[in-house]
Amino acid sequence: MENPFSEGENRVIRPPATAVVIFGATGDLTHRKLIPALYNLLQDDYLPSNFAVFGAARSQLSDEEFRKSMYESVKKYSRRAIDEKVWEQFAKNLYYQSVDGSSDSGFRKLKERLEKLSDGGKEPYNYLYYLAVAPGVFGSISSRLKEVGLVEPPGKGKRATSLIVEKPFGHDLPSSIELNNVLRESFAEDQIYRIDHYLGKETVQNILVFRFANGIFENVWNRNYIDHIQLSWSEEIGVGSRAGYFDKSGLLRDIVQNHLLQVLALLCIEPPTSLSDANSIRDEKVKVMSSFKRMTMEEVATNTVRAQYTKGFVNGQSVKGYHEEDDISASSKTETFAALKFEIDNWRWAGVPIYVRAGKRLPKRITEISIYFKRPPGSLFRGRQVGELEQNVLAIQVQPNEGISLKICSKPPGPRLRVRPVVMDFTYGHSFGVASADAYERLLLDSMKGDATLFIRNDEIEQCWDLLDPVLKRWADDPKFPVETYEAGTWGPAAAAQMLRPGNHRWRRL
Amino acid sequence: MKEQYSYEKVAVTQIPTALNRIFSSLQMPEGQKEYSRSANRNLVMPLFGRDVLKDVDTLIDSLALVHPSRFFVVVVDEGTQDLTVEIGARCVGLSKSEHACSEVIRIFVPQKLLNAVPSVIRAHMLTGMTTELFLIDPRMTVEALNLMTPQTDTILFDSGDFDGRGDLLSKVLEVTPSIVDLQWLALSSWRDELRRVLDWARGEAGTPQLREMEIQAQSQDAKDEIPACAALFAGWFIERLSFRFSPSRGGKVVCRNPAGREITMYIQVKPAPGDSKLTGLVLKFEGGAELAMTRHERRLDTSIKQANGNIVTTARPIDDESRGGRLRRYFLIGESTTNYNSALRTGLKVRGNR
Repeated sequence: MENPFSEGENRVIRPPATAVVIFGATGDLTHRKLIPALYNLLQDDYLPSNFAVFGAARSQLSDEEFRKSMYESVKKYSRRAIDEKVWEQFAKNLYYQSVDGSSDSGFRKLKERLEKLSDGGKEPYNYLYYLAVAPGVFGSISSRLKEVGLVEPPGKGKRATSLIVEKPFGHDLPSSIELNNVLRESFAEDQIYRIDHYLGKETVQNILVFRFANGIFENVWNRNYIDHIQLSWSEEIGVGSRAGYFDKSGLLRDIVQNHLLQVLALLCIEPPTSLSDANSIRDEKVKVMSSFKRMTMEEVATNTVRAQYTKGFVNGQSVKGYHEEDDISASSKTETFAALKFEIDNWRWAGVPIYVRAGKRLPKRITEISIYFKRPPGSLFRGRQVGELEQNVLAIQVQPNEGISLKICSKPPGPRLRVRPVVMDFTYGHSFGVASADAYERLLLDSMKGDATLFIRNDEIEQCWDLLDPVLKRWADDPKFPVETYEAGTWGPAAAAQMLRPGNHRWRRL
Repeated sequence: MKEQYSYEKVAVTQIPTALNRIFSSLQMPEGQKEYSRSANRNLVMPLFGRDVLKDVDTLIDSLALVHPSRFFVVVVDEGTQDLTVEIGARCVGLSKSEHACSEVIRIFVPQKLLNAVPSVIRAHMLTGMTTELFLIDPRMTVEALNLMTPQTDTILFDSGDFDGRGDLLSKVLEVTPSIVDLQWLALSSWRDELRRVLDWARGEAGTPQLREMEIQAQSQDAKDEIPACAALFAGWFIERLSFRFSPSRGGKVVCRNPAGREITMYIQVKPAPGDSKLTGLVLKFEGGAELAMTRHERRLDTSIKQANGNIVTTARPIDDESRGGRLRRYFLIGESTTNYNSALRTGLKVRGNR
């Protein structure tokens, strides 16, 4: 019999009792994102009444030392000022356990402390393990967890045990397959949550709502109406303290392979059968990623550009070039800028170029999707000194000013019929009045609830690597493949603009 | 009603926050709360001294009514040690309840740091919007032009401000195809009147053969090169009729029409205070027909002497030639610039500029 009290009621958003164990607790991600996110979830009353957070790392720290350190991090990095009462409650459930992947003693101690949480007949805690560590130690940590009995098969034990991992998911297709195999030795696919924090951003989630909750857009969301798409990711900062890590990966691996391809996938998918079923959306993402045309080695030369920044000015400040940064060798060919042209070979998108550019030391920090619609036939305005009609552009700004704008043509006041572009826009701040939560807040909450919708499935990752592997290979193996340069504070090398010219397109000036 | 927020010095990185703060604290008179921020255009104005800042504020106010923009006023000032920024907002009342506000970002730099300025503009431009570069200071340099144009869609200026600056005008033509010259707008009455007369003449007795013409202008420095108004008009005339020509020698330009017939063009410039302007145009035809257009204050008188001796006269007003008037006309009514680039290019050749 159906429960008559459930009809018409919203599902409770609070997850069941959960202990989050963060491996790599002394690292940057924990300080800047994870602990502040968990703190804010508590402040917004989204955490279950039974929750605990364990920091785990090699350092020897007491609970109190860890709490002090996390207090400073929340003060510095939380999107809101710290509320001392909330912090007090949070800190009571914040612990630290020293662990080392080379031995199981720390893990046994961890298990002992986790099991104590459920003492006294309390609701058993689910365990959520966050691997905020380098991929090289994923295997040792996950196998230790299994060895000591901290991993239970899904649906069989008395609690749910899950694993969250962050990018990079390998550095190419073979390594990502290998990494996944390592994780699968200890966890089932359903237990693994692969985070791409862009999927936790409100504006990225809004892509699906925008497309499928509005009757006017889906009908024109195809090759008949769309001329081309641009996706731009830009940072004004250089490599800074991440130079050593960055120089081994480059922008294609660091940003394009994950964040930008995920965004593109959502932009280009067919309508899923349900927005409530995680696999429904992920199935569509895999489908569309498999429809992206794979580049031949020759096409890599015409459809991709890589570059490095040289010294210049960013927002008025003089900055050094990439080769002058600390820990960067003068012979490095690692790209700080990448531009690519993609095409999707399906009924919806055939013939629509998709241009992606990403770069460091560009003029400003911005991530934007711009959808350019085809120009109408200009015959009505011929001979009226109108000039070429500007294209309608739908721009979705992911950061920093989250919102959507639509550029349309309009007649300015005056006695003559003229046409000028104007912009209609919506910004999150003005429309909803609340600051968006950090992406990690949403993602952590969903993982605690067991909702995998915003997490990446392994086959999606493989599709993304498969798409970019020809590019990575050509760039790595061909010593003659040019590494262009661009002055820091400009929008990239001339070659990137040149790449769009065959289509008679230009990069949007951001 | 004008409301303005006095300029405030801010760090470059704080520009967006400071602009938001200004607008959230703008004090409007009772009952007049509606204001709109500039959202559709970026407009960059390089200046080479603080002496013209007050005039620029007046100009911004007049533009805010017809062309609200985010203004970047770049001031090269050797009295400044570093790059510094001030921000402000200038609001103009559109109606009882609505104000249009232009955000103003002033960037002060010594010459040695001028090359840092484009990075500030790029960092704070309105995303995806057209950017216009307004050259209003005759001290504008080619170096500054080269720095500013990569982030520019259109150059707006008055070529009359740059008499004696053939180098700059040539560079303007080179760096962008989209140019709005206020001098061109000043000539629109003359061009339109010529068009009207030709339409009439064709209807009457066909177009007679032109043999000689005189373009009359006034200029403060009549001894210097041909002023922009005359050069531009000559360039337009030559281009429209597909003449070949040799550059001016002492105000005489020898032209040949496509049939090879020689036409002599005289450009006469008289000294007079104030802005340079066209004062007259005389076209002499075979058979004794003659067309004379003469300026009288804000009126253009046209006299047509036909070959049979009949004389027909008409008069029309000349549009408001003040800078503000021309800007308002351009932004409210518009002006065709289809033949402008070729007219300027040819006009520069007429006066011997490369």
